[in-house]
Amino acid sequence: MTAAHLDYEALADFAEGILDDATATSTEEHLAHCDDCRRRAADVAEVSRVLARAPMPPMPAHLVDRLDAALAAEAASHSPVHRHHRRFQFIAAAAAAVVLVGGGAAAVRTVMDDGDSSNVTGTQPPMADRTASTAPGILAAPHVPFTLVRTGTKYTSAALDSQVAGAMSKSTVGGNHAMSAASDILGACVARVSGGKPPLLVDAATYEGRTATVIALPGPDTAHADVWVVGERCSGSDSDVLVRRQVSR
Amino acid sequence: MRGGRSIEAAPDKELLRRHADGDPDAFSELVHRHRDRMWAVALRTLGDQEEAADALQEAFLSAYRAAGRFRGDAAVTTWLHRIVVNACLDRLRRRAIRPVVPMGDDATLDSVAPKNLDPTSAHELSLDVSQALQRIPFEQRAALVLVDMMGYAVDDAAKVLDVPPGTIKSRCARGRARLAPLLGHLRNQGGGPTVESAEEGGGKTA
Repeated sequence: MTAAHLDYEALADFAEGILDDATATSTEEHLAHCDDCRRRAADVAEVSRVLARAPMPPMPAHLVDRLDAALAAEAASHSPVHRHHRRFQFIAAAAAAVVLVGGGAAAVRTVMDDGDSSNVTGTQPPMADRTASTAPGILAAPHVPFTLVRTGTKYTSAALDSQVAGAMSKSTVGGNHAMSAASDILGACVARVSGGKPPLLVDAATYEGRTATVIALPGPDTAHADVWVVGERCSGSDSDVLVRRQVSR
Repeated sequence: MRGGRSIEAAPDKELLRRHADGDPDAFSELVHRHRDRMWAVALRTLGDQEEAADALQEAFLSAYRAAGRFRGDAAVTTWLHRIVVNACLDRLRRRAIRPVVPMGDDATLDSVAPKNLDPTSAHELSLDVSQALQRIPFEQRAALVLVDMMGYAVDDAAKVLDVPPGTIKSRCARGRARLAPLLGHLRNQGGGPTVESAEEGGGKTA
């Protein structure tokens, strides 16, 4: 029997069952006739219930995009298929030549399929495609032909799909917005991100208020584009990806 | 498809092994499967969306790189949880040694200063769960996030945090003891069954 009141700590230990037997017994006896301590014990018990029913906001879409983009960039820059490094370099050299001739992504894909069919299948979702086709990025500054435009679009996460579609239709019509010479750094950035595919759109613009370049690449099919939004630090060695997303064309 | 099983049907361990073997789809399936739960852990541990997203990103990137070192005797979810909790701890440590706000810039300081500096119980009462959690030590918070908020068994939380189950129990108890006075005001919200003791409110210790 104890006359001293119990503090939250003693009550929480008691509730968790981690007091020694003697202390637990005296705690129990005290609680039997002390309203104040019973009330505090109820407070302690309530903590678990309050925590269990705390609302859990889902991960916001723009943060999901950022996470996906970071993982895609990781996949692009450190392909896990190190065992095939040399072979990829060789294939990449061949692929780059094909691109210059104008054969495009399909030819690249065919070469890679034939070269390593155990790791690269013909129908892969975007991240896989990135992993395989960007391995050539280890070559010294491959050049990808593209035209840098400034459509003046203020891209946002919410409207990205329609904004990219709008910018692409404008840039194929051509002539109604400024075209700029791309810096070597941007050229290397585009080469890194595109992995050799000629981009559909390279737009020097803003994304969510910050300076960004929107790069649209051919998607898995003709109805989609593979859109990368990269920040100012994008170069041949760092993608600085803000967002990556498949959008309808 | 290698392994004779589609990505969606493959168990976590197989996905991790396939990723380590170079399967380019396996890891994104793992992320897709566990992102929401890992987000919940990171957000509740750090109490801030941007910080939680950064920690989650670091965690998934280190899991991506470390997949080859995964020991098959643990569950993949346990391993992922541990990486996320450690990434959260790293961010807290960095925040502690290098304040985000540069000193001497009054305008910036004012803009991020707490709006309510009143140290009385009224302020305490206004704390919501997330703020209250930030008031207790990291070890206690991590244990409570896993056990009370995520609903994991003590033994599972012990594996995640790599301590004995008894340590989890005592950290949870200490954490609840510290939160009890901070969360007392919430106990009758949402139609809980304990209406009779409403007058005590803040729950001052004797």
